[in-house]
Amino acid sequence: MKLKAPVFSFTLVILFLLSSCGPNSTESWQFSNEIPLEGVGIIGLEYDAEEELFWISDGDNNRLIRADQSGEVVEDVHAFSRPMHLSYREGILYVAEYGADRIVYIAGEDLVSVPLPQAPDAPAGVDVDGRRMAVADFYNHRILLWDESGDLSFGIEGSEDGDFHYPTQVRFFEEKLYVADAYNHRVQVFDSDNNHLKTIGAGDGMDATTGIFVDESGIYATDFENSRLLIYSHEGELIQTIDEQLDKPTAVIKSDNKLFIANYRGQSISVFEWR
Amino acid sequence: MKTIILIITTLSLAFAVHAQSDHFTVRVDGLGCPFCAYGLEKKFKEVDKISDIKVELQKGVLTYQVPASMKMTFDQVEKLVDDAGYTTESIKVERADGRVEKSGKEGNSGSPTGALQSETKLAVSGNCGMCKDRIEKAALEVDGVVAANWDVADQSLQLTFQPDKTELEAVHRAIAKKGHDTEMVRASDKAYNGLHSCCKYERELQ
Repeated sequence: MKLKAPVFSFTLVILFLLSSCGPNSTESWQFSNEIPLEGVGIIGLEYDAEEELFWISDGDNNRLIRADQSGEVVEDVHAFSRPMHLSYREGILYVAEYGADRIVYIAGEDLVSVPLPQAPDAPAGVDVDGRRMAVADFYNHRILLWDESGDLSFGIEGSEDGDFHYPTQVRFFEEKLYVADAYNHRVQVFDSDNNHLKTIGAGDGMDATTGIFVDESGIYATDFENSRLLIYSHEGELIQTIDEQLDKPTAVIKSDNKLFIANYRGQSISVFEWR
Repeated sequence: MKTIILIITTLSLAFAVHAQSDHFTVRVDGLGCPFCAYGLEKKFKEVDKISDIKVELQKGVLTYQVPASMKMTFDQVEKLVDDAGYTTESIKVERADGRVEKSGKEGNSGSPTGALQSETKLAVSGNCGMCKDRIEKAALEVDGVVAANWDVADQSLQLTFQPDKTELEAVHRAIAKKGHDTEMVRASDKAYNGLHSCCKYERELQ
């Protein structure tokens, strides 16, 4: 069967449009550039879009710094004992101070220690969602979690669903809590009542899931030992694996359609763009 | 002048303290990420009087010093490393009196020249690389054991030993004490339960 020229052209346009959007899209995260941070043992990473500055916890040098997108350190904010993952919410920065067993927040000039319902042993990550705060309690293999109604902590050491083996980061997104369960090499998802909903990435060969980021586009997990970033849909399907230009990544964030991945050994931030 | 005297006094005291310290170098298995390294450092910092703690992540080496009066033992070091979630590979200590002591592979491997040696294979249960280190280390600490090589696929330990010095039953007991069942000695539930979750091999029902 032969198609007339106008019909054929129209069909081609439709096919092109169909192939360039939706699930068949060929777009993916592509390497853009690397931001050098020489001498910085980068563990935690957040981005202040208003000031266009990174918040960086420099674990090796026991300090919190701010740097711009060229890698210039513009402020040495404060000394901490092994600061780890960060959470930047509504203008307030929360710091998990691993070496001092405490959580602190910085609001303007103020630095405040958060009273904790139970004592953590090496808090590695922290996040808040307005009414709740969660802490990855590394050596106790549990999540410290509380809100105005009280202490909701949960988890024990183990490898079953709902157990943890050295959790390193927590992230809230749309009432759910996401945990980087580092040495079970997976991400776990819990509902607002702390019921286990899903385990993600357990069969994907991760070796130390050190950091996570979650938004409406999916779940981003750093695979430290393999120097990879694994990106999942909210259904748990592996969408993309980034294994270039990373060197022992510990943290990942997304802002302005860019992915920023902190390289601990590489002493840099790798930037990826969606295109 | 007072300032100079103060500086000299301070330096003298610092030198004296340094000279009265035992210097430890500990090789640790599984020290992969900064979370691990800082954790190990944290557990040692929690012990009173330990100072100058340094962790070299890439080499998997921890160094520190303690006052010689503490007489810190290898067992105490291993317990601290174990509490931090890792396994000791070897320990070297330079004591304040000049003696050097070594443990583990660093101190016990190699064949004494001319010694009569035998080889045997023992069935030993385990799961991973950490198990391998633990099993081999336990075997090497038994008198007369020259070499030990555990194979995860085969679940067996290839042992080279001096028959005039080694009681094989002692090797079985030493390994079981660390939580690993052997063909001759079953580990206690307490020792088995103390293993890392990744090391918890499937046990045969008793």
